[in-house]
Formats: sequence, C-alpha cells, structure tokens
Amino acid sequence: MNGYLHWETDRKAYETTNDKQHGRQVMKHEVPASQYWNIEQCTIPVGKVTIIASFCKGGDDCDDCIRFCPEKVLQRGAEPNEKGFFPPVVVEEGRCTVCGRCQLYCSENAIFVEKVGERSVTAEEIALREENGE
Amino acid sequence: MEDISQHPYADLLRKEMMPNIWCSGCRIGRIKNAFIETIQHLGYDPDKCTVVSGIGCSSRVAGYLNLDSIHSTHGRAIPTALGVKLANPELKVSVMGGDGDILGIGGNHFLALGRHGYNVNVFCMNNYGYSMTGFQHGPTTPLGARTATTSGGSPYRPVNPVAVALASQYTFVARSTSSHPYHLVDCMISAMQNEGPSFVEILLPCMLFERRNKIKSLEALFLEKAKIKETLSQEDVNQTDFAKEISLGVFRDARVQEKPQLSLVKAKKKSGAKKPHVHFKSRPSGIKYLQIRMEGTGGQGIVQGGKTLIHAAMNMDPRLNSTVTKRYGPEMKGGSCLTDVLLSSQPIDYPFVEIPDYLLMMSDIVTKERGGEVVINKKGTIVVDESMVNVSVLEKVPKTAKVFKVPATQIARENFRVVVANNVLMGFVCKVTSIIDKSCLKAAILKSAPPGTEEMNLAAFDKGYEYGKMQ
Repeated sequence: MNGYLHWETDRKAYETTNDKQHGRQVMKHEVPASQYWNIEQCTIPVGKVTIIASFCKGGDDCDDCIRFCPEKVLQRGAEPNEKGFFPPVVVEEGRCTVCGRCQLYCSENAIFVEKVGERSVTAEEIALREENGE
Repeated sequence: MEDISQHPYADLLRKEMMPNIWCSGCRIGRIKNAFIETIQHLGYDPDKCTVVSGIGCSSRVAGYLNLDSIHSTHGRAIPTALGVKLANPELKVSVMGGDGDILGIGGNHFLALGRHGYNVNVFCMNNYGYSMTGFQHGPTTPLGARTATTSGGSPYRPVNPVAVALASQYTFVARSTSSHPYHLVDCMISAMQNEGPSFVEILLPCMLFERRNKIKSLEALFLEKAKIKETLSQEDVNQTDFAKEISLGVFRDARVQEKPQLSLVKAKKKSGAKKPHVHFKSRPSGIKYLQIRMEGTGGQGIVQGGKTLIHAAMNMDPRLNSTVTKRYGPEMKGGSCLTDVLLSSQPIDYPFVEIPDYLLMMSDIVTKERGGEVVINKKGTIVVDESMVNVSVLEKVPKTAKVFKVPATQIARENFRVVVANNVLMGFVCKVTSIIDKSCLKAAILKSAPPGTEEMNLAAFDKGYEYGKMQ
C-alpha cells in the first residue's frame, strides 16, 4: 500500500492490545499528547469552506459533509435551494483545518476548502480537545 | 453565487455537465472524486489518461471527467478500452462500469481482458443489480434479496467478482467500498501503477436496493461490517456478505509474467524460391456479351476457377466489364457449387448467368439438383470432366451445342494431385474454345496459386492444353 494521506498512520495509531491485568483495551503505540502535537511550535492550517448551494443534494439521504467533518464546522441549513434540498451552512468561520474530507466525500462536488492562513495551537486548546474526547 | 472553477478538482471536471444526475445520497460521485484524487496524487497528465465506460449509472463518470473519454455501448466498455490501449499504448486506460455492465452483459470481455494481459484498469462499481432501469436482478444480487424481477427474493447465488478476477489472471485485484474513500484512493493508486490488467471491486450502496429490502442505510452497514486487512487469505475472498463481514484490501498485486516463446506459430517461410513469371499481352477481345458458368462439387476448385477466369479475362482486355458471382452451400466440401462469370463490353446490370454460352461441368451434382436438366445456349459449348460426370445427363442437350470431354480429375490424380483438376480443365478449355489467351490464363493462375505450388499448377495447365490438341 502507498500510505496515502492519514489512513496508514491512523490505522497503526489506533491498534489496540488486550491488557489482561486491568481487563481493558490499551493503545499499542500510545504517545503523550504533548509529544504527538509538538505544542511548542505547532500550527494548524485555517481553511475557508465554500458551499455551492445550487449543486447540493443534501438532506436525510446524504449529509456526508456534516457527518464526516472532524471539527464539526457544518450544520444543516434552513433555507432550501432551487431543487428543494437543504445545503449545509458554516457554523463558525476559522474552525476548519483543511483536512479535505468534505470535498472528497461530497458526491456532487458542492463543497470545497481552501487554505487561507495558519494559527498556532495553545496547550489549553489541546487539553480541551482531549477532555471532549476528540 | 459561488463558482465551481475555484474547486481543487475543477481541472478534471467538465463544468458544463455539472451538477450531476445521480440520486441524492448516491455515492458514485465519491468514486469519481477518488479517481480525480488518484490522478492528481500520481501527477499524470490528464491528456494521457482515458476513461471508457458502458451504460448505467456508474458509467456517467466518463461524462463528468474532463479527460478524453468514451461512453460506449452496454457491456462493451472493456473491448473499447482494449482498442484504445492497442492504438496508443502510452495512454493510461481505465474502465468505469457497474456490475451489470462488466460482469453481466460484458462478462466474457471481463474474462478475456485477464487473459490478454494488457494494462487496463477496471473499476467495477457493484451495487447488487441493474439500478438505472428500476433495480432488476443482476449477477451480483445477494441470495434472497428482493429486486423488481425477483420479488420473492433472489433464488440464485451471486457471482463473486474478486474470485472471478483472481481466476482469470488479473495481476491486481482489490476490494473496497465507496464508504472508505481513502482506502479506495489507495487501491486506485496501486491499480494505476500495476503494469497488468487490474480490477477493483467497489461496493456501492444503492437507494433502490435499500428501499426494496428495507435496509435503513447500507452505507452504515458497510462502515460497521467492513474490515480493512493488510494480508488476506482465501477465506476473505468469499466474505462479501454485508450482513456478516466484508473483507477489504488488496488480494493480489503481482508483476506481469513474461510471455513464453510461441511454439504454435509456423517457422519462417522459405525465401529462396523465386516465383515464376509469365509475360502476357493485352488486346481488344471483341467480346460483346459472354456468359460463362462453372459448376461442380465444393472442393473441386470451382470458385477458384471462376476467379482465375475473370482475372485472365481482365489480363486479356482490361476494358471489358466483368462480374463473378459464387453460389455454394454451408458445407466446405461435397455440396453443390457454381460460379457465374459475365464478360461484357457494356456495363452489367444483372450479375447472374441466365443461359450460359460456355458451361464447364466438373460434376453433375448441380444438374441432378435441377432435375437432370442442363441449361445451355443452343449454340453454346459444354466442357465436361469425363471422370466425374455421368455422361448420360448430356442426352437432353440440344444437338447444335458442342460438347467436349476431358478426364481432368483423372489426369490430375495420375500426374499431380487432385486439387489441380480445375487447372487441367482450364488448359483444355483454353485450347478448345480459345476465348482467352493462353499467357493471360497462365498469369491469372500464377496470381492465385498458393506459394510453393506455382510450378505444379502451371504443369497441370500445360497437360490440359496438350490434351486439347488431340481433340
């Protein structure tokens, strides 16, 4: 396999073994969060999400972009487009990290992301993420 | 208003065709996206990539990709792709098709591609039936699944595309689903890099299948049951049931085997022997309208004789108009066979002989079929192969017609081989009738004789010519 994008690394990262002493599943290659994120110098890209509302066929059948977004940037919109579907809307600008999942998952090519800048990540934010279990 | 031209995939999308026609919640578009991602990741020139598709929902992919693509006929996507590959081997050729297109109607082409071993990538989107026409039963419909044509549940076991591809010697075989796009991109990259025929089965949730079988979400089932595995065993090939477990991954990634030396092809022909040459002179023949018929049993060289006659006539007088018409049954040898040759100074309207001026009979089978009647002009000429024809059939022939007899087959059998009997007859006809010059006929025989037998054919002609001198 080619190790395309995160798939290969993700799979290794989440490999688990059975810890008989404590009777639970333990991560095999567990890394401390500070080391994993390299907080001292870490920056995260900031993206701009563009939704082409006229292409979208979102609704109860699809909603892929909303379901698969790891940052939960999107939310079902209230205004229907001309076909009667409900395109998503961006909840909060600047939360997108340009993972590109939405543009790969969207069958209609109705959504895409562009990198507009970068922001540095603070230790508090990482701690908050871990608390929320993300 | 947002514009699609800002989209990262915009270079490879046909913007005038967008938005696409697929149902809401259909994931074929994701496979299209994965293909675009593959080409962008590998850095291929879009002008060097081709997508060929058949008919069906999934075949619309070729229309939406801004590549040189062909939307071919139903089931014939693989042969079309093979033609593209043979014409221009530099191109990266991919086939996008559904299960009905590739495994159902084009099933034999799918088998043949593995055998031929050309670098064509087949991406088969398996949605368990013919969904564009309302979900009829297809080759991959699971056992017990309801479709439009199997309303009580499919009674047949489905085809396993991966097993078939493995058996038909595809060098790259993988299974993925549209619900795992990153894994799909990974498989597509490996398939494009493989130098042999590659096959990727892509499981696809279809809304019509979900509705008919009362499944809430097939995609959720795929995400739950599918397992991506690094190493796959024989058992994993058969794990396709989405109710239990689906094994995803690469089943085979092999190199193309070198082709062995072909042993069935004949050795090179001898190049030393020189082909004899006959000089002939063209002249105005003075023929106004001449009907020649040659009849006999299939295998005696009747058709070949007719061809020789017309070539000879053309050699003699190129200004003549001429036609040759052949009639024979489905059997190669033993059936009735006749050849009509027409020579005319004016354009020919009707290509068949009505009443022949010259009748060359090599056997009486046609006459017997006609009820014993010999059709001939009152002032015509009949040349009969004495050794094959029962002479009693000639009793009803008008007295004014000339009859010549020659044991052509017997001469050929005694001196050469039976196959040159028609040339013996030709030599005899040339002497006794003098419609066509000797040198012209010889040149025509040389033209159609198989290499290595020219001498024998000419000798047979001379033998017949000498027999004609004795008459």
